[in-house]
Amino acid sequence: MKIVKTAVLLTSALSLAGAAAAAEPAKASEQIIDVEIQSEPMQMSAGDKKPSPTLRANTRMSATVAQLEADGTVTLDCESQHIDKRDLQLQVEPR
Amino acid sequence: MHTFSKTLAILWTAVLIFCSGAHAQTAMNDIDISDQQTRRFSLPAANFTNVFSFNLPEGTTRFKVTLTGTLAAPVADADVDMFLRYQRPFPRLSNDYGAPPTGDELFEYAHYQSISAELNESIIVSNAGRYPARAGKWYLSLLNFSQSAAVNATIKLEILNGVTGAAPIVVRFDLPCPAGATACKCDLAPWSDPRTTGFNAPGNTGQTLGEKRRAAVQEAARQLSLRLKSEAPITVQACWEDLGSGDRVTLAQAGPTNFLIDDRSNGGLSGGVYSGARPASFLPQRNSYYAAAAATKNNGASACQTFGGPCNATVDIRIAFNSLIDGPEALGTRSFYYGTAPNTSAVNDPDFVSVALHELTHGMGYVSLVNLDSSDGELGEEPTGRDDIFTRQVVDLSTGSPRPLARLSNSDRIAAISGGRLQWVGARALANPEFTLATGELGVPLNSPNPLQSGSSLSHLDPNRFSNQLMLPFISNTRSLGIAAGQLEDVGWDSTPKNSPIRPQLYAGNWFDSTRSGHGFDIEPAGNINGFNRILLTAYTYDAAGEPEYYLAQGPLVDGVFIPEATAAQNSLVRYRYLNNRPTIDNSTQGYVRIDFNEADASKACTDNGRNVQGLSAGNAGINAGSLTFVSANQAVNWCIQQLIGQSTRPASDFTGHWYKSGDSGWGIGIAQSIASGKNITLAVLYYPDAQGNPRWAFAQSNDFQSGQTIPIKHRRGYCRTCPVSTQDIDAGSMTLTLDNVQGLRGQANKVSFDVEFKGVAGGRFTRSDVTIERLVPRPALID
Repeated sequence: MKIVKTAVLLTSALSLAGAAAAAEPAKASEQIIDVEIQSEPMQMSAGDKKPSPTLRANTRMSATVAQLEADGTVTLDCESQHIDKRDLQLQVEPR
Repeated sequence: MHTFSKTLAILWTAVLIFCSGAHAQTAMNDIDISDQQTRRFSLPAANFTNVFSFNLPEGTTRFKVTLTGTLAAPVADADVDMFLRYQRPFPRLSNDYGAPPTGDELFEYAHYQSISAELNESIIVSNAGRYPARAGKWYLSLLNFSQSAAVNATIKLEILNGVTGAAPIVVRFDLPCPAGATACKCDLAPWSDPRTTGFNAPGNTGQTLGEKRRAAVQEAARQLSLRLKSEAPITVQACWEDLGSGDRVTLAQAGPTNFLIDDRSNGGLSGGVYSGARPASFLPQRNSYYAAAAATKNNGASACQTFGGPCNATVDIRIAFNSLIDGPEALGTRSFYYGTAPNTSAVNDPDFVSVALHELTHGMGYVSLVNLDSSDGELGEEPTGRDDIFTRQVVDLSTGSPRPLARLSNSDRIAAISGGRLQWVGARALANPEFTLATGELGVPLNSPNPLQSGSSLSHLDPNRFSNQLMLPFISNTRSLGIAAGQLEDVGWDSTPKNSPIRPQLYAGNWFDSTRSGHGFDIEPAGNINGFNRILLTAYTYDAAGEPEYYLAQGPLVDGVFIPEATAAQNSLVRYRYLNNRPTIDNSTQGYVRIDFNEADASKACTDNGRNVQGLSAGNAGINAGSLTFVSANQAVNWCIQQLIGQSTRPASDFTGHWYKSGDSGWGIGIAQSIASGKNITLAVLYYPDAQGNPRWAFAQSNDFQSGQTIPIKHRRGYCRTCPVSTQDIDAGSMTLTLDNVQGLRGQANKVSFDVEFKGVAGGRFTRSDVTIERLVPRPALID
């Protein structure tokens, strides 16, 4: 009896799990709800919103430099902040 | 003359038209979305909607909002955007001028933004965000930028909870330079190099050289992900490039693609049109540049969604390796070591993983923007005169007591950088168990050799103090972030839970920039709409001829930023003319104004030329200053404004405020009072029209005011907003002011008589006799 009961419980659990799994797609579709919304015209176009980046940088803001020494070894140094001011600038565009 | 006579309080004039019942809220439908729920709708071309919102339950730590659009047929300008904010809604669909909000206003309300140039937007907010995930109401603003096509869209909410995981770092080995970008060089072929022999790569599972190169970059990215957390993917463009040949060559170079700052004043005039940088409320601190990747992390949206642009070509970091290293042209027979296992051989080939990791760490934001190269401009200069978040963490101890590096003059800053005592005092770095303070240290020592080494000073650790650290000024084959992990957290990578920002509170009254004496701004509360307290701003200034004139602006204080509403002509700073006995909007003058009271004492305006506003204007609920951007008549200025009279020096019976006569709009009086040496100093500024209806002001001041007193009126001739300081006062009439009832209610016996003559070319005389006046708002007024 005990085994049977366990089996029954297990079956029930599987059934519930199966039911839940089967219900999942239905649940997903049920959760898509069509609505009508209130909207308003914008005083802005896609072109207007483009000038967002504030400070564009070039790639070479930091660099690693290798020196091949006479004895065949290589030493490595860093060159950070190698900023070309022409590349690092505020982007201001009229909207 | 008493201090406040230099600035002059404002008067009130046509305010009535703002306050006369136009505050009724426009009805809008409000659509709630819940967890795992998808709402489907159509958004017409060139339209936006603010109808969606959702309530998060207690205990929420992370959530995601996704907007997906589809089109019936492709169009070239297909583009939707999504804004998100906490607690209080986006602006009304129709403001007091009857105009809809501008796109700029929507941006300014947003706490988070997803603004790619495409139809799919998403934002993940965690409890580490500047506006952390938390219970309460969140609001959405959705925009369709296509000028021709409606978008069929869905919006979905998912409550994720849990904690933020490792930063997903997406390395793009397939992204060429943008078309037409001639300066950009990106050779992608080495990522597909088919060779299978002739390189040193123990532990690397790639089969070909190209595969091993990619695996080595991925290993560097993995090391970063071990210490950095992010909801949003960080995107890296990986390239090869001819970076030189010979025995001394560049192995690799990298950097953020751009820097983002939340500074409403960071803009300028271009072709007569003012353009301000887009706000970024999600950044942890105001008025400071953040590297792109850190900005992406804090916005909870990808690079393209954070900065805009196409998602297949927008990245946070670019890194390039020298394509000559593995050939005979560079470093002789030496080539990169591609092992994912550490290099333990006797041959010291440059460790590709370490080089990539070091450079990517710079790309994540481990870099100061202070100029260290005289060929690029003034040494010590900050870009656009504004701080970067890296430099903000650094103090100089070379003169004894710690001095914030960001607050020094350019010359002092450059001297400090070669002074040998730069230390990083960011809290997260100091909390990093991999760093322990040595005796005499306040923070993490940085490289600050003398003489200056433009390539390595400041943005590296001190090699005299540390060894085997990734961010030394040379590569040490170290493959972990070490101390740099905490430093990165200080520059935007902190993922510990946050509290919501505290909204600034400020007292109403007169505010002015002490270096631009004679101009001023009267800030008065003007009701509450949609949960936002509103402000009426009267700006008293001078026209091109130096004659006194004033402007008005009105709108909400949004999270500590005064965002005035714009007219249909998109003017937020409005000039009125008095025509046919009533104020009329003058659209011939373009105007824009913003005031940001958040962290203003660290803003550019409040710190330029060593200026320090801390401690001034005490008694105004902790707000010392506002960073004001003022644009009119083709002049754009950014001023640091402070309260003219602190609460502690006001008289017990204080008549400070706007006064007007009901039913007689178009003129008004601004009163400011202060006690000095037991005397009541009273300043009254009269706003009135000249003979042509132009908005003018004049002032009357008594240094020992008694009710019923008659005071001379002065016409002040001043200087334009960008001109040197210069003022001249001219007799222009008299005013009798009777102030007996401090409540200032309608019907109480507060009265004024005046007779004023405009002394400019237009001329004109304006008078009132024994008229009863009342307060515009009760005092004291605290606005938040």
